Amino acid sequence: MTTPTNNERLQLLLMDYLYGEMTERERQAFARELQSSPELQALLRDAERLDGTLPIGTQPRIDAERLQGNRWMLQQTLQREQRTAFSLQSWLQALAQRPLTVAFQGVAMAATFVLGMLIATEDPRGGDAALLAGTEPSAELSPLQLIESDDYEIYQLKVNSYDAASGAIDLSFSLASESRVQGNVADREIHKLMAVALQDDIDSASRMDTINALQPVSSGTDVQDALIYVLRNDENPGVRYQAVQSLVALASVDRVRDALRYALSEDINPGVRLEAFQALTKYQDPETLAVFRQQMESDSNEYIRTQARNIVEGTADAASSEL
Amino acid sequence: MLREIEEELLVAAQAGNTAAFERLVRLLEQPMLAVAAGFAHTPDDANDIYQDAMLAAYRALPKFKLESKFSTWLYKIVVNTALSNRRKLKRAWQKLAAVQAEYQHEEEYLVGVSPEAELLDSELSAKINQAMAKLTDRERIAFVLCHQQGFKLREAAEVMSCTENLVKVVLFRARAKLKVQLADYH
Repeated sequence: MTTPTNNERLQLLLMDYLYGEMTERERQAFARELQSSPELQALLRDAERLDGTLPIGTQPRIDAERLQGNRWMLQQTLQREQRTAFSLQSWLQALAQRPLTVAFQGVAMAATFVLGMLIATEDPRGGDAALLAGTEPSAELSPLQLIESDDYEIYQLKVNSYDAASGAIDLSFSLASESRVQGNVADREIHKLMAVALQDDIDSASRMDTINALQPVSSGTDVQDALIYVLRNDENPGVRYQAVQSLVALASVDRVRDALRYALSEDINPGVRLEAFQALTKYQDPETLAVFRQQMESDSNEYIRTQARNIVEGTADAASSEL
Repeated sequence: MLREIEEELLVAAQAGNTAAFERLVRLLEQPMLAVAAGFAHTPDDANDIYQDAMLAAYRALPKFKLESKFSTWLYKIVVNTALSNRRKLKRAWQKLAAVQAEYQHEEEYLVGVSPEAELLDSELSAKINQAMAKLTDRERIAFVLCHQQGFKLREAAEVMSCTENLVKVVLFRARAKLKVQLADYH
């Protein structure tokens, strides 16, 4: 066992004084030691300096709106969790409470039923082989088709208004499901699901991972739409940056250029604006030049201002020499 | 009385009653979000940590022993989730930091939590975020719990599963590092 040096002892004493629960007696002892110990006086002076800048209790701001948002999110998460847990757990629990032979019978019946369904049902998606080979499905598909009807439930059904005389009714409800899909990102069904998810409620890290995974298939319209949506609406600048990086290679597409022009003029993140600007420099159409003209005056980033001015003035010089 | 209500809610929540769990959590949500924010790079990250921690707590609830203190147990989960998420989110953050030196979407700091609490200026808030990022995990836990959240040393020792003396040592080190980092503001 090591014995603390006097300085270490004083450090511990000071932490007790600042954060512990000293009794009156201990406080008096501390005050006496403080009077006689220049070392403790120096430590306390240092501590007071930090506490002057960062008083005890200084902490990140959590406003009412943020609390409300988190409360709502937690409610949704727990409801999803409860539904997923319920079906499996209750079935297993019920099974475990019966005699073993009955449990085996139950498992066997369930297995037979599932096998029967697999054999009897024609797979509308052409089976896993088609999925993995990345073949294009012939009909227009929605990601919801990846979710079987048994996988989701309706919850939070609300009657917003009801007119008893005419029978007119206005309902709102949420759908929740827990599903797992395995396949290849090149498959349209898979990347369409991911594209839709990008516009829904998934966390920032997952949005970034999703954009990363979608990069090789970003020429597809549905993926482009999702990336454009993210670039225009995502609150996380890291996610928007990843989206703009995926879109720069597609700047020849009109609506992608529209989104890039929007990002250049509206995004508060200079990294996002810079990527958009660099992609647009190759396309000096009138709309793009108009945005450059605006940014050469107003952009907070010096590089964008200077380069935009060079392009706008260069274009003007070329036009006047042609005349 | 309060303890009885808490126990009733706990029993209901352990049986899968999500509304009971939400009520239990609501009493602690502000400080727990603030603890998560003490570990995160951005408010979005902090919100993710909080959500992950609450889901983990809900899943682990059947194992919770009623004789333990619920708040300490919950804080432990928030701290552990924060530490594991911090590693997961580091890559995303590095990417972000690389592109945006003037990133403004960071935690802002308040002196206290009352409605009249004073908001620190954004420059100092940014500096505090940077300084906090230089602390080790342990130093950060001790500082967030004791200095920011007002935990007593023994309470922090419980959450950190260590001795009170170790909390004091680590806390002193954290303070020393922050003092250097924030020297321009003393």
